Amino acid sequence: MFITIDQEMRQHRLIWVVIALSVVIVIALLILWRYTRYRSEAEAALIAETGFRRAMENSMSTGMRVLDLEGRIAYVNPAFCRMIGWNEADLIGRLPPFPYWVPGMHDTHQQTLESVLAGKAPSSGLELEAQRRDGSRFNARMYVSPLLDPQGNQIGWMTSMTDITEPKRIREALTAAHERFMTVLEGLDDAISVTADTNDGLELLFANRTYRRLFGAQTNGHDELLAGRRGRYTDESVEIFSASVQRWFEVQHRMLAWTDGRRVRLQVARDITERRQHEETSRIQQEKIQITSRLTTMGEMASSLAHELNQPLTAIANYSMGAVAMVKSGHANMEALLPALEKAAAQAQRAGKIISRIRDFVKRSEPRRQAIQIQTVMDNAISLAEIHSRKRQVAISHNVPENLPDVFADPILIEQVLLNLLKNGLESMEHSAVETLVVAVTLHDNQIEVAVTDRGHGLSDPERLFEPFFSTKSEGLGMGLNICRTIIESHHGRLWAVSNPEGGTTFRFTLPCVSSLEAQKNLQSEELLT
Amino acid sequence: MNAPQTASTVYIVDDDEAVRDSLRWLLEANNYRVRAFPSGESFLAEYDEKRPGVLIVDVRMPGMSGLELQEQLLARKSTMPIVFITGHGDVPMAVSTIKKGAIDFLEKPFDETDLREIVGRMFEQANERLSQAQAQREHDAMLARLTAREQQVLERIVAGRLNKQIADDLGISIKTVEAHRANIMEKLQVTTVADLMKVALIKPEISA
Repeated sequence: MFITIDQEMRQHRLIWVVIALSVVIVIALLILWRYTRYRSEAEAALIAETGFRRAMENSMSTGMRVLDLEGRIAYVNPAFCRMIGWNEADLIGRLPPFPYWVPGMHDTHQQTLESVLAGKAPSSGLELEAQRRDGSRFNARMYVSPLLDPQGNQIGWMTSMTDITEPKRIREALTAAHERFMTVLEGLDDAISVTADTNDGLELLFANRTYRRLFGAQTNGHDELLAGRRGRYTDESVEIFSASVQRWFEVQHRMLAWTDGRRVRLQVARDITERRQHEETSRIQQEKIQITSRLTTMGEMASSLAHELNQPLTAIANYSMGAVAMVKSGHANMEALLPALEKAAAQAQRAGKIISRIRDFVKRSEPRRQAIQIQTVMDNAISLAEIHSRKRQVAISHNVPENLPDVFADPILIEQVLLNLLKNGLESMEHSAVETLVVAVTLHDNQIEVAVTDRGHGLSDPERLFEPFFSTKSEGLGMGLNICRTIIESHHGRLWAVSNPEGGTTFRFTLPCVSSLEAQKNLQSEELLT
Repeated sequence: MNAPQTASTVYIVDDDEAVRDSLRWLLEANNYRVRAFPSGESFLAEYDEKRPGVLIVDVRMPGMSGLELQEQLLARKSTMPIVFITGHGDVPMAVSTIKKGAIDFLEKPFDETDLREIVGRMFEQANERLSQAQAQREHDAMLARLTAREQQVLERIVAGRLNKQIADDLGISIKTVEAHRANIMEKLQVTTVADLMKVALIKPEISA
């Protein structure tokens, strides 16, 4: 074989070219491989990303809808489809009216849509009613925002929608419950208020209508009805008079935890003015009955005694008169006279028994005397007469000097006498121009004298008032003053009446004082004698 | 014809034995005939209208009260005079008894003079009423003797009709009317027309 150097060189060069090319190819292949691997990785990532987003959209409970700028539905998510019961295929590309619009309310829906497309949807969202494919309806809340492409150009409107039927129902139920509760509270006749203690005093947190009507929307009423009982809370209710509204309340307090966690006072005040008035009237009535019944009992007793004594007296008189007539006629015979006289004697004994029965009765109700202050008796009698005084709008003025000696008397009986005189005086002054009944106490010769001076109609002969069964009152028994006089006289005092030169009558009674021991001793020994 | 009656008995009704007995004694001593009863019921059971009298009755009694007894007697058309015995304070009650026809009331204990005066007055009234009743009975008997036709004629005479008018009214002759007229005058024992009128007109006045 014949090989030239040139050939050899050419062969050599070719080999290097081939090697070089191979290297280039290998490198290019390597690069290509790496690029392909990068591409497939990017693709996988993209697929994963898309799948994730899809999954997100699908699993979202909020309905999503995209409208293009013409109002055509461009996109809905499965939640949206589930919510309204239409398929994606039924919706995409649809122009209004949309199938989920409520029939008959298309105008409203149209207006809402127009405001959405005009970008005027409120950022707080809007509420509307929608109809499902099956005809059932639900309330939805929608939020609308513009949909922008990556370059920032608006390509449509993104709407998210939630079914708020259940929350709305709950909210409405709550509102209704609240309203009912408020109606009850507002309608209550009790004044209800809630206050909290603050550094500046009370803060009114709640007041119902009754409270506001009575006290206005201020804490004054609450404070007044607390009546200084801050800090003391019992279940007991307390009756309090409110001077500001001139009414009586039955007030209950309770500590409560308020909605903000503060400890507050709940106060329930019931207006009991009418009840109090009623009670007051019946109490006065009761008192009156008691007082009059005490006096009528005495009057009735006197009247029934008169009747009982009348029987034997009549019989005695008859027997005696008959006997006299018989003797006078001249043909009296002993046999006829004797039984009549015996019977007369028996009747006298009958009368005697009645008298001793009265004695027993009187003994049992004998006065219980003690050393007493006339001032105390007078205060009691005047307070009892207050009712009559208020009713007749006649005031009672009294003047009792200080340091008066005690009197020895039964306070109840003297109180009765004084009350009787006060009542008479007040009654007589009912239509009088002078509006004060004057009671004055003076001390003379160891005797306390009480004078009750009225300016009433007066009487020409006031002594007549003391006669039994004499009365100036239509329903009077005419026993009152008579009994009063008996009471005062049994206390070794005097009761009399004189006409007033200025009009009306003055009643005076005296009671002996116990300032001197001797007087007391005398009284006691007289006590023993009776 | 009944013989003219006179009241002679004082009836006493009082539940109190002593008052009843003593009053009987007092009245008997004054020569009255007395019958006493302890109650209104016992009095009504025994009372005989043929023995007229006067009644003294207690206002207050258990059972039938004096007022109820008065009512019962009024219901029986009794003309017996009544006096009530009252105690003190029964005055309003006594007034109502008087309004119903009681003569008076006696307040216990009795005053003898008052009692005598009142009882005397009661008997006067009782007898007056009795004789009035007697006269009425006689008058009634007299009128009863007229025949039906005579009564028709009398009615017309009293009405002031003339004989001729009466004859026309009754469809009889004047002569017959005159005959009736004579008979009527005779039966009623009158001689003048004036007397006839008086007798015929007494009737309504008494029965009223």
